[in-house]
Amino acid sequence: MIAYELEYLRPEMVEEAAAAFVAARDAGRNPCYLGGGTEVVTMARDGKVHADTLIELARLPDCRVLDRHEDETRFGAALTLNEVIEDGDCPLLSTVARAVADHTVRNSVTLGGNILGLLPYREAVLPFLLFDGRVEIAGPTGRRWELFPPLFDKRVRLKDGEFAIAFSLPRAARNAAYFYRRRERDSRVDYPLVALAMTRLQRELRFAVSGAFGYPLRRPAAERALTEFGPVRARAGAGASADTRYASAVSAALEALPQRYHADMRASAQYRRALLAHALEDGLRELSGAGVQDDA
Amino acid sequence: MIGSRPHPHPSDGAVGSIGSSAARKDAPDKVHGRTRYTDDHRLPGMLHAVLVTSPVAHAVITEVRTTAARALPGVRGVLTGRDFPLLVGLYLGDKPPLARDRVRYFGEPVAAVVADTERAAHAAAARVRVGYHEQPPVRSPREALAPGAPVLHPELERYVHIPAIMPEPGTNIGNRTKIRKGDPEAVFAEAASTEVAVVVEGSYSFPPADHAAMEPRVAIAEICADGRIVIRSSTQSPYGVRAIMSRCLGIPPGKLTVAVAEVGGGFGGKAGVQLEPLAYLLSREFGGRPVRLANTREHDMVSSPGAPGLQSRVRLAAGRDGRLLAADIEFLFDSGGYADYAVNVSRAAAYSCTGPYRIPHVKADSLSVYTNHPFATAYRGFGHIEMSYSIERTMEQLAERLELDPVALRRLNAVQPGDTTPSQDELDPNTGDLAACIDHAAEAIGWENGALTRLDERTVRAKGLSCFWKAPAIPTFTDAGALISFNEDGSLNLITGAVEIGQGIYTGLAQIVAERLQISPEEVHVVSEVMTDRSTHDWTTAASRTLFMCGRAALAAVEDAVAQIRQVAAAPLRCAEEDLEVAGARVFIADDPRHGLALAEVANGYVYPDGNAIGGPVIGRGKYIARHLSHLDPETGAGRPGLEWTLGAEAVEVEVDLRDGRFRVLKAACAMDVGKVINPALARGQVVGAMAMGIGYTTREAFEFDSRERVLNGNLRDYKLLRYGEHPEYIVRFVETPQNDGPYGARGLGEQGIVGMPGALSAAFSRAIGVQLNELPITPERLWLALEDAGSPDRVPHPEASQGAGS
Amino acid sequence: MKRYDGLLSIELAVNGERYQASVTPGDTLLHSLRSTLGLTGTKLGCENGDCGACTVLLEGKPVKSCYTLTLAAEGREITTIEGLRETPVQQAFAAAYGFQCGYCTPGFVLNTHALLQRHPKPDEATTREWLESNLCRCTGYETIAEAVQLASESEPQ
Ligand SMILES: Cc1cc2nc3c(=O)[nH]c(=O)nc-3n(C[C@@H](O)[C@@H](O)[C@H](O)COP(=O)(O)OP(=O)(O)OC[C@H]3O[C@@H](n4cnc5c(N)ncnc54)[C@H](O)[C@@H]3O)c2cc1C
Ligand code: FES
Ligand code: FES
Repeated sequence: MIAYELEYLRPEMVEEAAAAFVAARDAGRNPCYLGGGTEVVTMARDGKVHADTLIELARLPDCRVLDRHEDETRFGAALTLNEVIEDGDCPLLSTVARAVADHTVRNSVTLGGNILGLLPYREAVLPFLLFDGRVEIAGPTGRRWELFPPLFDKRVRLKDGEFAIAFSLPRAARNAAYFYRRRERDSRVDYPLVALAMTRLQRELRFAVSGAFGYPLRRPAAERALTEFGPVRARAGAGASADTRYASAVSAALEALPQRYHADMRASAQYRRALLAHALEDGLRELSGAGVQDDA
Repeated sequence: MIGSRPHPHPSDGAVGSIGSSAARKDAPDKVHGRTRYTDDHRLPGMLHAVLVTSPVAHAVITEVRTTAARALPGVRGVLTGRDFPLLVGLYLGDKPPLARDRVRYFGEPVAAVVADTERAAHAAAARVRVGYHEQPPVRSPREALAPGAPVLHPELERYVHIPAIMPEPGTNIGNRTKIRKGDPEAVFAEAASTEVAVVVEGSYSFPPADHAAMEPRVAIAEICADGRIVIRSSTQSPYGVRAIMSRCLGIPPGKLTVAVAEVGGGFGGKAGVQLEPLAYLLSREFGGRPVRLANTREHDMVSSPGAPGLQSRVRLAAGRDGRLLAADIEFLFDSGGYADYAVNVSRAAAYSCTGPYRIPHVKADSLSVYTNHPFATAYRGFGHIEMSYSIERTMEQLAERLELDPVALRRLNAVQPGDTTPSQDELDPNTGDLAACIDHAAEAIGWENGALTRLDERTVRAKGLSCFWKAPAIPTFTDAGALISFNEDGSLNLITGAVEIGQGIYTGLAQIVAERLQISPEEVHVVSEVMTDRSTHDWTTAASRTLFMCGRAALAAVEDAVAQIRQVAAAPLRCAEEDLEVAGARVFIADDPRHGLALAEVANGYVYPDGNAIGGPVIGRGKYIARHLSHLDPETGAGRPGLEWTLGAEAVEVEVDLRDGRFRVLKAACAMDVGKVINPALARGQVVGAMAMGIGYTTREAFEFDSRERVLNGNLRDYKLLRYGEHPEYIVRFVETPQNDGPYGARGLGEQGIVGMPGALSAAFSRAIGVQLNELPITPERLWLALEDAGSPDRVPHPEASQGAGS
Repeated sequence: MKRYDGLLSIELAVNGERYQASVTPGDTLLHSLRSTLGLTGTKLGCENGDCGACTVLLEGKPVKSCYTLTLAAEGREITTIEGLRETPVQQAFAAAYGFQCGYCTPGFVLNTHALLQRHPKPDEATTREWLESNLCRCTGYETIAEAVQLASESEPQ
């Protein structure tokens, strides 16, 4: 239960929602979009957020789309994670989403809420970072589509009053080889210490990480390091054994990543670093393994 | 009997129900959500109270500003420590209902807001402003005992306490229990100077933890116009609440009724006194209107008491053959800011201090020590987990030192009837068969197939075994009562003071009564609500003694009823009372059962054909009080503290990934001598539940503190309990050496399953990674760190380390 | 656009019946069910989404009512434990001793019920995926697993 006074708005259209936000702001209120409420409602109870105008997104038809086009798939921001998972159009997205919270909670957590929430994990963003996905943004000035990686720096850089209507993943996300590793402190139902999503597009390796640094991250330099040094390129194979090449690829990638790992009561920075190193190595092995076909 | 997996057959509740898994009486209500827990009661005119708690661990309160809170609509008032200048305590009256002048732990209640609605109360609580002048916190028992440590209770001398505990004013020691048996000094001295004996020593520790019963604590208090006080509470201890409140608040006990229907899990955390005194005081402030004081989960975890932390040290001397010679033990219990049950938990660890091993010479000091942590109360296992963990860790080291099989070492030293306990009490013939339990546990886990297996380069499986014992830490006068009355159809009603906390007590008691009367447990209606003014006196539903003691009382009540039935029936049946037998809902002539009457015809009076009547309602009365218990001698600890010892052994198998320390608990086995299994499904359920809790306790459950001793994980997002699918395969075996003074030979089994888990798991993990692990919780990261320190070959490639590698 | 403010009266569809309920926008479904409608079978364990004691079904899917605002459930079919009568799942939990204190039981029963509606013969991984949403402190989960098994054997296909 949220103890303080608040108002609840149920817009029927995207534009109405955006306008309601502005109006509330102008009236001196503290508005907030509402996805599944798993974060807003619990944090408001606890006094961690103080939103006094909640703007419901869950029933906006545009936020509920699930459209498969020739070259991309669109996911409404108000789809629940379970709806996204069951759709299964992008296997990596399903896999990533499936590890968030627990099954019951995933009937409420929305894709938009997970990607735009306050918590630092935002795991569902990982596939969008990897495959250069896009987000449709609504705001006081109308709608627009933006490409993920530039818009994303630790979090999605939305302007005040903006919200996500939908997300899209390009066709490549449908059948690219991928690797996903999520490690928790102990219980499966917990925040990730490290979540690593990796994919291989032809000979190029890409990866994005959550948990390890306190914000999700994709670093092209680190990807290059992994690709350069790793056995993907060098499979045909000069000199050194595969094991050594894996190890050097991982350390080169780690060097290109931030050196400050997140530390909290769940794990130390060094443990997170170790888990990330293991995950990178395993991902590299798996994606450069003989069983994986080059997707041309 | 050696039981294997019992399969519940709800239909077998017919005659001869002992030993069968009769249907649980509470099943229909529970699976339909119809069970009324305390917070499911809503009273007309009820007010809602919400606590304001301290965000710091140790501070002087400089001010409490309540104006903004009071100004909110619907707020009736805000009360602070100043409003209630009194102290409440279970054994030691050291705790104000709301902190006065000083807070001693993170989460300590400093104010209570009372409002018309829950919402208003929460909204107002967020507006109470409290000023704190922080003080350096005391972070551990050792720190608390160090010279110059802040004394957290300077008034300790003036606190009222029961004679069985011995606080040391001017220090942070809430209680010290000494065990002095034989001459351990001489043994250790000799061991040091000769080759015939070895000495091992270890130090162990873990932080405080929480019970995390699924139902948060709640109390609803009201004061009637005639001054009677009624408190409905989620308590394991309705009579305890009544006694403590009448002692600390001067309420005549007859004026106070404590009522409890069902409790959503207790595990010790709802024993003693909890929210009841404050709920009552708040009701008093508002003209006796009902006041509901309900914990949020966060308050339940941190503001209300949890399990104590521990720092301990154990030194064992043993002959080269492994025979234990002497022990020197120190237990420092982290009782947190207040004493509560912890002062008795430390006492229980003292009288059980050696574990179930024959050790002729023992010195132990067990202390309950104040710190600035959340305070501690009873927790399933009650001092025995802490004790067992410390001893079992040392036993592992001894086995390693002597290169003996750890199981054989335990078997060699297992206690038997005729041995004496640390409190110099001789174990009588009712003592269980520990050696048999060890054999069963070892066999169940497959000990003979090897304790350590390497599956591949990265993965190992390891096993660990530990023994346990437990005797309830109860007052010498612990009692139970029972009343039986009859219905028109000859079925009967059983009233006791036992609280249903999930253990299935009403089903167990019905089976005991049904067995004696050779009727179906369905015919025994157990009154499933305890009200202190109409139920029978009962010390507390805790210490695994309820089935034992209430069972005895219920049997006595049956005997009493049977005698009355015979007396009435003798006249119409024209025979001597002694010739009559009562069974199968009839009273009949024992040697000629054709002559008899249905119970329905006599239990509420017999009516002759001409209308004349005799008898009247039969009321069976039964009682039981603990036998031969005595106080411990203050200097030597000699005495008889416990009713019965339950013995057993536990074994586990874990699988560890040596690369990152991740693990799974694959199997957990428990073999326990329970005397007699009354209901196999209930018994197994208790043991399995306790083992699961033990896995959590060992591997993840512990409060995390920041540098100012604030709890970081006081909620269920961050404090991790075992979830579905994380549980191992459980193997439970019961050995039945009768407890001849228990009902049908049964002894306590509710807590014991947790006691050996930390020891068994620590042994398995230590074996898996080849490093002795002497701290809890054992998390994957801790294993990884230990492996790193030990220089595992599977080190993470550090940039420096892998430089120059082949590119 | 609908705007809700202050004390309102809304219609809720619970267990096949229509209820008129007074709510405020900050009320959670948990609070409305228990305190306003008197349906106390839904339990409060943490109000944080962690324990699952407050689980109800929304359009047949399990959700935790402690983080679900009542207004968000307006117009949707809500099923609470009071809406299930002697279902195979309930019979199985009773028969298999799938509870002790019973506090987590309504949540487990509803979640299992929804699971078996969706997957009548769930494999172990699916059962785990669903049931790890609920905490039980008493049973160690063994008998709950047995209850699910038992119910899936008796659930009409
Ligand atoms: C038991 C439990 C376990 C959890 N475990 C995890 C976990 O493992 N990993 C993890 O990351 N999180 C976890 N969470 C946190 C989880 O609540 C959030 O991460 C969740 O994703 C929020 O989604 P929601 O739809 O409920 O968002 P809401 O609570 O509705 O909103 C969250 C925030 O996002 C904003 N928002 C929502 N939708 C949009 C949109 N379309 N456009 C712009 N802003 C928007 C809101 O304004 C708000 O600030 C857990 C929560 C629970 C209850
Ligand atoms: S009360 Fe809702 S999940 Fe715990
Ligand atoms: S039965 Fe008590 S919490 Fe599950």
